[in-house]
Amino acid sequence: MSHYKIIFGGPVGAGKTTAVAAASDIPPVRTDAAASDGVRHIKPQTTVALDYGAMKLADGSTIHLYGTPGQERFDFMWEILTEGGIALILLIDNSRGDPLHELHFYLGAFSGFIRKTAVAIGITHCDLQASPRLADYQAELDRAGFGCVPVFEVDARQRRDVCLLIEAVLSVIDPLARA
Amino acid sequence: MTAQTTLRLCHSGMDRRALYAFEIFLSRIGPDACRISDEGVADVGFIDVDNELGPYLLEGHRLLYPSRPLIVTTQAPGHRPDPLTIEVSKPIGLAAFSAALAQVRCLLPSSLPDVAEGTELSLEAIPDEIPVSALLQAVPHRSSADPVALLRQLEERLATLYVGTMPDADLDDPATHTTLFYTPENFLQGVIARALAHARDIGRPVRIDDTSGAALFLDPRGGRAYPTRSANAVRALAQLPTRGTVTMARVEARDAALLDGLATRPLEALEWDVALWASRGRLPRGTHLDHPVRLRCWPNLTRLAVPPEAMRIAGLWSRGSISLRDTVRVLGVPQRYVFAFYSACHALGLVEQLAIPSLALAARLAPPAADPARTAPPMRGLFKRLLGKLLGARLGEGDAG
Repeated sequence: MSHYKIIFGGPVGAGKTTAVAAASDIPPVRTDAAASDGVRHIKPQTTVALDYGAMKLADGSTIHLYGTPGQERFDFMWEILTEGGIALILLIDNSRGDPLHELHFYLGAFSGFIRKTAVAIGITHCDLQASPRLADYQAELDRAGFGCVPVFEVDARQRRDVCLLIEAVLSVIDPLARA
Repeated sequence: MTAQTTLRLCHSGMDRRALYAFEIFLSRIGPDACRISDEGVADVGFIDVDNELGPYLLEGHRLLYPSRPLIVTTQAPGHRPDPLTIEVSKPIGLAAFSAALAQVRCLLPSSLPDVAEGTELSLEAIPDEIPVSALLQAVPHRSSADPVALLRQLEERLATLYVGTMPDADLDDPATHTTLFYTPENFLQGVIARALAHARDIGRPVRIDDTSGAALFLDPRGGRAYPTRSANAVRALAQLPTRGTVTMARVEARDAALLDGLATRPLEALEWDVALWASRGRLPRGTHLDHPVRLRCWPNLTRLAVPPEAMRIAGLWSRGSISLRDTVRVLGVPQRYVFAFYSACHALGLVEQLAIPSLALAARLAPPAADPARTAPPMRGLFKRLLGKLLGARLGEGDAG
């Protein structure tokens, strides 16, 4: 039985856990723990191993959705989780820190996986902070040599937004595939 | 259309088997009473509102064809939504359906004024948005029909609003090129572009007026548009050449009262919509069919209207430069889908055309002529199923696919 996975990556607080839950057809499995470092200033609980959700297709097959832990000290999980994955959804929080630097960092961290598959980028919390703009992210992607990548403003709570990101990344991988 | 001619009837949501039975049924009414036709040219629509997505089909049809009579069949009559909709109870009898067709003949343009008594179907009366999710949630059960096929049908029908109905043209025939291109400057799209440039020059918002007064206020600094009209009215204004009837002016203090309380929307979303409405499946004049298109940046498709096949077109363009002609060929989609999407991207400055033709990507991606299943990538089947589910999510339906 094949194990099809879509990976949700990105920094702490970007909305990975929320996005997995929004897209999942099953109650998501979370591995939260009380935040003990700088993360506690962002949120009280954080993912330490993975988030898990699943999309059930009509033929009975399952697309597994994995959210990676955001903290760099758990980066060993990133490689484990991306093994055999179909695509990467990278979420970046527009309202905190240096979002373009975060993008650059995570593109580098997942570069091997992205080169083998594809990435779509969701920018969250644009309602709190309008800048950088989507064009700024694309410019950063161009500088990093990733070319034209889907970059959408998303609300990670909205299933439609998360599903559009997934649809976009599939369209990049195989534009000839259609529903 | 007169009472003596054969009625052209289109259907929504019927599968092949049901349609076959329905055609036999129609033939028993009379050889010239009624025939099945394409949706774009029909005199009357027919919808089974008890069918899966029936309420949605009804709402969508009414939105697209506000003045077209509709025959709806239902087990629970009594909810006639408007004077142009005729209910027929199930099981449908020949006499009842014949009577409904006779009513339709009375509703057609030669006698339409009679219908208008009491209720006038004006542009403003058409809902701006179809409450897709609400309608779908109201459907009590699923039928055995393929939900993805139904959703695709719905998407294509709704897409008419954005990409029009222009049939594919022979791209090698220069005579057809007059229908392929439009001049954005002659439409509201061009007026808005000029108004925004002017607003940026003078550092203040501008207003756009038509013959009825202020239609839009535009604030490029805040990135907001303030329409004073409904989306339908703006669409109507955007679809036809302005012919000098639309003007712009800077916003003055006296406009404050008009602006107060107006709903706003992102300026980018307005520009996107207006370009799609003006294009209606055509290309901006000066566009080359054979020059490669380079997508600079994806449109923000979570916050903009998603035209049909937009994801696949953008996905293809993001893999490398490819011409519009080859985009149509490789994806196997109607020309108007590609041309409308290009026009909207062009209006937002998201695409450019390169001067040197490039054939490499088209050759690499071209569907094989024979046995596509054998040569399709291994995950295409999975992607097809997953995309079906995602299409449902996009249209507000959770369980398709």
